[in-house]
Amino acid sequence: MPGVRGCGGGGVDMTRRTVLRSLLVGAAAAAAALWAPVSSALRAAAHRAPCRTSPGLLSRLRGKTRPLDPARLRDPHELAG
Amino acid sequence: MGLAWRPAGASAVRCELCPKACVMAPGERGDCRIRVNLDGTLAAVTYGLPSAVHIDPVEKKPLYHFRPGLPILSLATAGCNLHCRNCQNWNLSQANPEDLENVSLPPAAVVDLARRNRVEMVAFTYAEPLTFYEYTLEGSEAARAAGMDTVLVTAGYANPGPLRRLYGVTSAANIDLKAFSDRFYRDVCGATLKPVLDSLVLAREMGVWLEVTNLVIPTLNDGPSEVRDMCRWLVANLGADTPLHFSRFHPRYKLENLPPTPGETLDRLAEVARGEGLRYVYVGNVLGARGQDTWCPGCGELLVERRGFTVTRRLLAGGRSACPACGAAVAGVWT
Repeated sequence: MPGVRGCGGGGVDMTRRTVLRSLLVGAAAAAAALWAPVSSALRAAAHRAPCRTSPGLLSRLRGKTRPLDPARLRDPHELAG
Repeated sequence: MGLAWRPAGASAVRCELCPKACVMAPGERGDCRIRVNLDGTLAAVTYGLPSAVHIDPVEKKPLYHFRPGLPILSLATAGCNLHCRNCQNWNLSQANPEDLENVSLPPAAVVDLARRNRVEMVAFTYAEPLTFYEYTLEGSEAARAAGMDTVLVTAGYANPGPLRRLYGVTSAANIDLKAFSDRFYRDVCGATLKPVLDSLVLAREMGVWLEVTNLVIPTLNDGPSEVRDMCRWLVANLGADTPLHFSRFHPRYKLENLPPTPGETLDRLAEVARGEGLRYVYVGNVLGARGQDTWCPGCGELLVERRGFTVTRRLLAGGRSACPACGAAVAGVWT
């Protein structure tokens, strides 16, 4: 009868959905596997500092020089190592 | 003028200090931020201009088997060729040098400052002293010429040539072995593992007193299997007498989302290390019965008791390097 599906019709639909689901899962896994090294490389590149120096680097350095206060040499500080 | 570089055509320079081998056009700086091409010549612009100058206990480096209880003049300029997302000293190591205050302290003045403060040791530390290489080298040469001991605290990511020259004037070193995986070094630090391993081996070969630090970060490098592999490598390549310090991670810089390292994790990894044969294993920032004390590897006698960075009890003194109870040799420099 038109519009009525037999068991065979529903089974084919289930198979198609299963196959589609499997394909999607596989595609996602493949994408993740491909992305991992790319992500790692991007992160590694992001670690690199910019190369350009700012204008007047040396004069700015000299401008930041302050006298050493010997009385504070043994003050607590938060630097490790 | 800097060391460890060569011209690279058209006034460019190629730094040869570390494996990153930065090529810089005039006016450009390298990855470490402090080695700069000045009109076709490479210079470490922070030479003699430290931004951190302190007198610390030597235990803070951490060095537990090198002249315990003594103070050490500790110096650093800005600069680091790693960019660890967990860096505890990032305000210094990741800064542009021109953005930090500094003091003028050339090598001769370093020695003079130590003498005036009755300090017999000088350390280059805090950031990455291999990047301010010339200052570290010449400061160490001056200190050694004055009869002082020199200490290097470093991540060890450098080429062997410059390292060999520096080790020649280094009395002791603490080198970070941040993880035992290339992936960690790439993803967290922006570096690679092998040069660090080579630096460790070279220090041992050249007779530098060596202690190793591993900062344990939850979920990133705290797996017992990796730590076991690391300890096996340490025993095989550096010796079971190499002190290993497990250090507690505190959320900082770009890893504020992770929790501090649980004390149980550090204790567990310390047991893994002892199980692999390492005789001197320490846990930093966590007070415990065995965490910071030195015990005789032979009979278990307490030899050096520490609370924080303070030595509270010491049975190894005056050059004694053997356990007073059983006579077993205890590795280190105990003068």
